[in-house]
Amino acid sequence: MQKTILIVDDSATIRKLVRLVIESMGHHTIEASDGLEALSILTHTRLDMLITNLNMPNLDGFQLIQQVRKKYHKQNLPILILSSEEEPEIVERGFNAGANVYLYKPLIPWQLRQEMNKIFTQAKLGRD
Amino acid sequence: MSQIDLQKILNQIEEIQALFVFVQRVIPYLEEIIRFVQETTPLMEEVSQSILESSKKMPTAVAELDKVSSTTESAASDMLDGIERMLDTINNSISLIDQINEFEKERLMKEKALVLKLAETLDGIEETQAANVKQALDDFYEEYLAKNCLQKLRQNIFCLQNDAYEIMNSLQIQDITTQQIMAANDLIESVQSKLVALTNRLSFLFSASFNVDSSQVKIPASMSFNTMHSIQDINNDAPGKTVETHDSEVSTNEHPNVDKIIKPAENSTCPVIVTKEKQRTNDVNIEQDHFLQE
Repeated sequence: MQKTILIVDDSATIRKLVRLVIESMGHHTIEASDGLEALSILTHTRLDMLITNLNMPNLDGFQLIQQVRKKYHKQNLPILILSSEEEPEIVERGFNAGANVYLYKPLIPWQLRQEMNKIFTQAKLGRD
Repeated sequence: MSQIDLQKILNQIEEIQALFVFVQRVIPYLEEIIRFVQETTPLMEEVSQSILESSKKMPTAVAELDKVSSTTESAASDMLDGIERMLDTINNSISLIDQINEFEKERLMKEKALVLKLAETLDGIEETQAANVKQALDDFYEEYLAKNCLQKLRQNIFCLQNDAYEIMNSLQIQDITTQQIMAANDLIESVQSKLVALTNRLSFLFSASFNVDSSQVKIPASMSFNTMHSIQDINNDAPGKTVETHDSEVSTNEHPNVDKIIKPAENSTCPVIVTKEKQRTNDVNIEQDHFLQE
C-alpha cells in the first residue's frame, strides 16, 4: 500500500535524495524546507511518516517534533530523524522530543528502507 | 621661630626629600613606560588599522563562501535531477527488456507449438517423427535462451542503476560541505565581531589615554639619576634645554617646558626641574624649587 511521507530538510540535495529512495519503494513524498512549512503541510495532509533534519532555519527539528506530538496530538505518526549530529546528548534530545528512529547522515539508502519497512510493519501489526 | 618649630620644618623637609628620593627612583621606570607606550602607540595604531581592514574583508569572505555553498547546492541539485532522469530511463529500459523477454518466450512457445503440430501431421509416415522433432526443438530453444543477450543487457543496466545510486549517495557530500561552510562562516563572523570590538577598544584607548600629544609627554633623560654623579651645573644653559647624562656623557635635548635643572644640595641626589608651566601634570614637574632655594 502506498504511503505518504513528509520529508523536512533545508538541503534540497538531501530532500531529493530521500525522495528518490522513498519513491523507489513505491511511496509518495511531500517536501518541506523547514519546520514551519512542515507544520503547515501537516495541518491539511494525512501523513504516514515524517522524516526530518534537526538543524533548520525558522523552526528546527526538535521544535517541529515537539509541536507535532503536543500541539497537533499526532502521537502515532512515526517520526524519523535524519541528521549529521552524532553527539549522544543530541540523539537523546531527539528521542525525548518524540522521535521513533534516529539515522545519521550521510544517508545509507538500504538503512532508510529497512527502518521504514520496520516502522510500517510494526504499525500494521499494531492495527491488526 | 622656636627651635622646635625649626626642627619640625627640617623634619618635613627631610620627609619631602625622602619622597623625592623615592620619586627619583620611580622616574626611570615611568620614563621607560612612557617611552615604551610612545614607541608602541604607532605600532598599535598600525595593528588596529590592519585589524580594521581585515575585519572589513570578512563579510566579503562570508558572502563568497555562501555563494560557493549555493552554487554547489544548485550543481548537486542539477546532478540529482539528471540522475533521476537516468534512473527513470534505466527503469523503463529494464521493464522494456523484461517485456521483450516475455514476448520472446511467448514467441518461442508458439513457434514450438506450430512446429510440433506440423510434425504431428507428418507423423503418419514414421511413428517417432514428432518425438524427434520435439526433442530437437527443446534443445534448440534451450541453447537459444542460454545465448540470449537480453539477460546480459539487463544485468548491465542493473549495474548502471547501482552506479547511479552510488553517485546519488556521493552527492550528499554537498550537504556536508555546506554545513562545514556554514560553521566556518559562523566562526568568521564571530572573529569579525570580536575584532571590531577590539578595534573599537583600541581606538578608544588611543583617543582617551593619548589625548595628550605624546610628543609633549617627555621626561628629561636627566631624570634618570642613576648617573647623576656627572651632572654639571647647567643653570646657565639656555631655557628649553634638558640635560641627559650617561655617566660622563652629557647631552642636551630641546624641551620647551623646561627652564633649567637645578642641582640639588651636596648631600642629596634629588634633582629638581623648574618648568615654565606650573599646570603641567602629565610631565614630571616638581614645583619645589622654593624649598631648595629656601
